Amino acid sequence: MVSPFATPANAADGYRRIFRLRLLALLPVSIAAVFNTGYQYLGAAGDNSTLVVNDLRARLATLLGASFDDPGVYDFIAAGLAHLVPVLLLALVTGGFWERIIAEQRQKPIESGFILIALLFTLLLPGAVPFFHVVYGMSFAILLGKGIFGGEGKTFISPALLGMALVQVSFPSAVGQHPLWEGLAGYAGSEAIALFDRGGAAALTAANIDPWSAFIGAVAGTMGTTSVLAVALGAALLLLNGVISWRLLSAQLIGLAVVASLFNLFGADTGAAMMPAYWHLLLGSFAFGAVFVACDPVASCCTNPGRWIQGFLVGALVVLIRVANSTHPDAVIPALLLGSILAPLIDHAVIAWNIRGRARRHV
Amino acid sequence: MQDNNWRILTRPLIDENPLTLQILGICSALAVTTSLDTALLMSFVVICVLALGSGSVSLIRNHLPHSVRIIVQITIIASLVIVVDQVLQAYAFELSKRLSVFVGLIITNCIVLGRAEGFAMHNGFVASVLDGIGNGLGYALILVIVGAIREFFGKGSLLNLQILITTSQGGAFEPLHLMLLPPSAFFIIGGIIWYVRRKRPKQVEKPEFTLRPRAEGSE
Repeated sequence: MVSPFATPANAADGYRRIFRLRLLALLPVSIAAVFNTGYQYLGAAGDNSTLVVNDLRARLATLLGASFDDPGVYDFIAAGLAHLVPVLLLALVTGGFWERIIAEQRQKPIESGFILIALLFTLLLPGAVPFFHVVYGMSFAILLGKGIFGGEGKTFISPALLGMALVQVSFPSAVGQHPLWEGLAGYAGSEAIALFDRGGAAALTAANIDPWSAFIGAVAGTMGTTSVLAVALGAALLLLNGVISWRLLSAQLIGLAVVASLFNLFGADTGAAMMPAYWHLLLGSFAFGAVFVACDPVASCCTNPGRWIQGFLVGALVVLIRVANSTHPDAVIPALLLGSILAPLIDHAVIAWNIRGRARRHV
Repeated sequence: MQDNNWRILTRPLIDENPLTLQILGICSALAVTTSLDTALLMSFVVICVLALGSGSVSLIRNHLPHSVRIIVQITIIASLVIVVDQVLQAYAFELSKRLSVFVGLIITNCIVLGRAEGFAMHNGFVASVLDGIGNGLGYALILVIVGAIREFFGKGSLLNLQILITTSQGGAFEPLHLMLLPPSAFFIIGGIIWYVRRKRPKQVEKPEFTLRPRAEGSE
């Protein structure tokens, strides 16, 4: 196997290198996902007598040896695996099925990218997601997000993002508006981001959420997106190897900080409007989306000014939708979607502007 | 002659379908297809307006000064739409409230003006009426398919008759909220266009540009 850190010799090698590096960067996120999902399932509930034991995931956790009374680290990992692995397997099987059909129709070899898409999609989902939603979202991700545009390298939005967006739009009562962990028997409390969005500082204090626990990801949320620490490790790997653009990443943080500060100055004191900017980074799926979805090597802007504009737009939109629209507590999916859709237009404008400037200088 | 008329009537159903080949009248197809009954009513209204409009334009085509023909065509179509709208409000008030502004907007439906200008101006009365009915049926065909799919998956019912019992009523079917939003009509119409062009490759448009083959050694 070629080392993922070696300089690629040609385009196909370069693609495989990016693929391996992105998988590697998702490793710490996946580990954090397994641990925190189990922790939220067993630990944060306190009283585990309400857990539904005929549930497939609960049975699987028991099979793996998780004990429901007085759970420890091993039990968290077992319960976390019982949540993550079935969803990931289902996403892989669904993705592989459609990839095979597309490959047969086009008479081309099967593309390996669906593995990455399946993992990203799984990490964006809540632990308690119904299995039908996984099949539904993954089918759309592969067919609409990738297949009809001609496959890898020709997508215009990240397929995992499209799958997640369609799941949110199609099943709003299960995923979009109501927090994923709320109302499902046995699952602890609300998603942290929903508490933050509705109640602001008071709600976070009541739920015992401090910046540190939000940073390491020990709060309720979708499976892979709670731990900013794990995302930061993955981001460092990708940045050092030049897979993602530092401009795009920092522009998102600047956009987030600027709009959050503006709300702090001028906003009304409701919900999340008065919260300092770092809370927006620590809670919800912003960090994960910013690194792994917005910086998708294919679907993001490819000019440097364009990267600044797209990044700022995404960061600003996340805070704006979070604060102003209470039906989207997380707001990362719609913001990323808009950023991705506008990326080719931004690039086009930047190039046209550059051509005009150069032409004017030389006349 | 009989054969020719039959072809005028059936050609717009699939071979020259106004929605899937010419991509006309998409706006109303997005707006009125959330359920099958509104789609059916809208189809019926469009068929009436198309047949009567094309027929009337065809009757006066030899007396029309060339420079004002579009104004006259629009006037005829607008009068017909107003009549149809009033009839609907009188006899099907509930449904016409759900179709709301889209009945009035038939005036701006490109199919109606397109057939009047493109066909009825050059053909006799019978052929023009048949062409209007044919195009209306072609429009109706797509509308009914889209409306049926959207109502079935969005509400689990057809013509307001509950077929699948949804989760909120205690059943197992989880309605797809996406189907009640306009983008789903885009997906469905896109899928229909893809299927039709796969079966009839003649309808596929020429690509606007082709990619240059890869240089040797870059792969």
